[in-house]
Amino acid sequence: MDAAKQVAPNETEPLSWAEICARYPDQYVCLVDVEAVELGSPEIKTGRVVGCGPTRRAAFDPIRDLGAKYPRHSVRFTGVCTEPLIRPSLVIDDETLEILRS
Amino acid sequence: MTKLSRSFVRERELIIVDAEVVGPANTTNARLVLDTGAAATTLVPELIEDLGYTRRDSFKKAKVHTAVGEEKGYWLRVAEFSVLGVTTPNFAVTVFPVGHQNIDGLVGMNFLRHFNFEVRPAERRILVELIKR
Repeated sequence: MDAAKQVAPNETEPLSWAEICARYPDQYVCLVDVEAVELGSPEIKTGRVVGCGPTRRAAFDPIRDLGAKYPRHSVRFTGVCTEPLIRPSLVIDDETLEILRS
Repeated sequence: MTKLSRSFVRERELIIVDAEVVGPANTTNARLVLDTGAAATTLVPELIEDLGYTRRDSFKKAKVHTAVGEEKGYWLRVAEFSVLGVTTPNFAVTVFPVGHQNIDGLVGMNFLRHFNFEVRPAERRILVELIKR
């Protein structure tokens, strides 16, 4: 089958972010046809769910080989993460400094 | 002089912005923390893999200190990186986990230093002023 014609097996209709969170609670979802609340905003207004699961990888797997059909996607977690953010402090040597300045 | 305005989300007092990252297999949107205290822009390994990159595409090893110890990651150039309406081709990022399900990485100063910007927290907006070079 032509990869461009393949469709993720469980692609939904466009759903609001509230509907996505209600239907797929506390898990990762892979979204396509995402419409943001406004241009450049991280807030999602609507999107089609093409994958879901307990890990980011599991959510993306249904379209991993369907790049021609789904050239643009977004993976989001529908729950609230209370873990502290690990904020890496980069070890900067001379070579790294050159990269940062490039 | 070109001026842009973009909204952001404030979550647990972090400034979250939308990024668009282009790789060899596809394009993805990411939620990144705007971090003026970070020298480098960081993306999480899973996002990099989803774009079609592997560790073999890295051009340098990277090392960071975190609260839980030392972590080894790598440097990689993504085909295109866009945040706040500004796009940079062939952009160098570090790849490390950030241990947070709702966040895909950090936008650091190696990206932010290319333009002027003003964060307006009460309005939840960032104003960007592009500089002609």
